[in-house]
Amino acid sequence: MVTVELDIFSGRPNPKWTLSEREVRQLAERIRADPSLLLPLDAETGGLGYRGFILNAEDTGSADDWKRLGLPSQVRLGGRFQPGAAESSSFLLHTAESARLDLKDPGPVLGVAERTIVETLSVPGFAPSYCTPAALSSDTDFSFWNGAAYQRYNNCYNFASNYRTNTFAQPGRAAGSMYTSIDCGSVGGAAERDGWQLTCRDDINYNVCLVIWPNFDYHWYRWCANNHWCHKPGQTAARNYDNSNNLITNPEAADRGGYTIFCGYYRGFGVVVS
Amino acid sequence: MTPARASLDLFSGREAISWALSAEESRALREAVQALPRGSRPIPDVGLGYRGFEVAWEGGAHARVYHDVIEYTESGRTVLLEDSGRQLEQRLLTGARPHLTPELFTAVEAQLRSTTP
Repeated sequence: MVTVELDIFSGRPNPKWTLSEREVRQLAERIRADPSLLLPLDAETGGLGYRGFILNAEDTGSADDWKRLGLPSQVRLGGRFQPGAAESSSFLLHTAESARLDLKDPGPVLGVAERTIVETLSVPGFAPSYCTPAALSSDTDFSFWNGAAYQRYNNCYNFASNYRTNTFAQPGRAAGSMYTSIDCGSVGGAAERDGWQLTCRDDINYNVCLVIWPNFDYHWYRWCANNHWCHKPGQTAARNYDNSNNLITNPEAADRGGYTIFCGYYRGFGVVVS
Repeated sequence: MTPARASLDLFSGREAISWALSAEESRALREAVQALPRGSRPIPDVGLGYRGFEVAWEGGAHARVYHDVIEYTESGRTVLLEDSGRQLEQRLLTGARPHLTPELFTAVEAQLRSTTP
């Protein structure tokens, strides 16, 4: 059993929650892909305010992913000085959304943590980690998507998957089990059932990422040529710029309108969607 | 076949929410569109979020409504129209209300009010 402590308060006890088996598995996959995410418990991760997460693994006797990987029973992840952990920090933060926290109003507290995580990305020298070899398509020629016969019938998920089905593809539909709510876990889980992975493939990868307009909708971006991220908002034209008309070099910092929750990156190639 | 269907162009991933219009509302909406003066501004490329309403009449006529701009297509010909009072958009928003959750309606209404024409 793995519990997460959001290290954010100075006087009050920090909020804590327990990860589901699935969340533990997802977290373990992230750590296996990048063991440098973990820091010693006494690492310097910030002063007042958000200082990352403390992970406590309790040995319940059963074999779980945490134990299988030989991970420590108490360890830190994230904080103000670990921009490379922003993606996994966001993932952990969003596991709190479905947990019962001992807070009267968790929204503002989680909001502070989320803003700080995004701010860590502005640390000079940080660049999102991509999986290579990568499958890239043009960041300027969207003629495959923007023709009158198919633009209206393909959405962000089609574009991210580079699969023009003319069905407004939905995560999980090809696998026979769609998402059941609009949050990172449900939509991301449905995409995983379609074949998207949280870790890099050995051969070739589409690098895509998922964002959420809480409770209402989801959206996907795909990494294209020239270090730009491209996307197709619904039935509109595919493009390489955000809602502020800026070229997208970092989807975590792009103007995404109401799609404020950044869920994380997924990898795949030849994923079938419908 | 219903005389017309309206839809809300809002989502990126999910299917658009659409609903059938009554014969009377279909006719009234079409008359209201056809009575509008010509405009010159196109519908802006918004990206993520509220992008307006669409109405498709039987027979192929089609309108996109975003704030005070209407793009109306009939018999294969598209014209830009102007609705300075944004009455058409408000009428469609009101018609959408029974088809949206209260939370989504509030979110759409807020985006509709906050975006600059």
